[in-house]
Amino acid sequence: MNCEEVEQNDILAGYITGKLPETDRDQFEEHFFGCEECLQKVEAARIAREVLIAHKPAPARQWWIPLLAAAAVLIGVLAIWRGMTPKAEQAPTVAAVKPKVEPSYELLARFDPPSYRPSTLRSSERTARSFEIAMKLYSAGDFAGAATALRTTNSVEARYYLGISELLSGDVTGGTADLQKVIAAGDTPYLSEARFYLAKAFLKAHNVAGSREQLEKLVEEKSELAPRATELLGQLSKL
Amino acid sequence: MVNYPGPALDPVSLCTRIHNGDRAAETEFFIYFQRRVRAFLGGRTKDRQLAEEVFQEIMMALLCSLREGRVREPEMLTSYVYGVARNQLLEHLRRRARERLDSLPEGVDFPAPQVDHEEQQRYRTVEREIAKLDRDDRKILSMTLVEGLKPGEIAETLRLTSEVVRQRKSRALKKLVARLGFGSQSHRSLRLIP
Repeated sequence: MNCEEVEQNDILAGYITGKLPETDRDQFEEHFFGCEECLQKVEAARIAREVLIAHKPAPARQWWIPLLAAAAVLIGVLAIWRGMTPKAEQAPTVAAVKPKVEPSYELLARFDPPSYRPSTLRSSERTARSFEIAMKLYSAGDFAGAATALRTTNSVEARYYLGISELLSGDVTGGTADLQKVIAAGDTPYLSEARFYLAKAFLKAHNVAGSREQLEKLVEEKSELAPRATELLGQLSKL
Repeated sequence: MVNYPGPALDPVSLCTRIHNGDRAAETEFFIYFQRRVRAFLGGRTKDRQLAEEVFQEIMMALLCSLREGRVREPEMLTSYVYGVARNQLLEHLRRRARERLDSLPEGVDFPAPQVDHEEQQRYRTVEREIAKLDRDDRKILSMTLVEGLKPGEIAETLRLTSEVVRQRKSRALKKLVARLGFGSQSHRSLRLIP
């Protein structure tokens, strides 16, 4: 690999976001060990990514909720005032509008780590070794460590547990991206579960529409997770 | 002004000098490779404490092999360092997996990771520079480095051409590199050398 290839193929961005295929990643790492220019770019890009994530604007709040609550209070006060005025005609009953509470996305986004089921599919010795290490960390609750080890393997199964590990270690952006890749891989044993946890990831980012879309697909596809999806959809509609 | 090409390296001479017990050569080796190893660990793990632990192990393993003259092809030192770094990370993760499975004794307090002032300073510099960037340039950087979008995808969103996105991204990154002044970095953690 050389600097031109790095530039032309957007290798740096892929490396920083962890989206580079294993072989490209290894080649790029070997390249920047010997290339000062690319090394400096990796260092700058890594810090820039941290800064940009830290300063990412919070998802837009539903600005109309406080207005609705204020309007409800005002209507309520007016209704009481009219009721207390002697000459006033009987005012139509105005049902007290219950101010909406801040949706508890965090609560609905929570989940317990899905248990690891060893796959019977064969893989190369090196990949299998990395995966075995990663899943030991995963089973022991070390999700940050598991994510690090899982980035060294490239199967759909590894990608699924990587997404889950990232979500459980607080990396919602990474977790969302990896679960989306599992879904993009098509009809694999991890499709339904990836959809379900992607719905959770979207909730964590307050993306209700995205979450709803994944849950509705689970119901449509009559997945074994459909009952859980229906229940979560019900809870979402109450927010 | 951008900082490349950085310090020069004569791998064969460096290996020989370290093997002959030259401590100044060990310091040169450390200064040259510490940033490379840290960049590699930063790419592989988001866990800073883990990265720091593995960093120490990697540098220690490398210095031991250099002192004992175990580098077979000194002219390939860079590739050798990369290979050791990769293997040590995997080895560390395997060990960690084993240790995690054994239950930890109760009441064990792990020391908090030390605050790295140099890293904090760099973070603040980048923060300032990003704030100074044009709104679109900031968006391009964010879409590239956070969302992982390709120039073509960004171009569609911002109604620019891919080439313009590529140029603006490259220019913004070069500005950051220039401001960070990598050439003047200190050689932290020299405690490795006994």
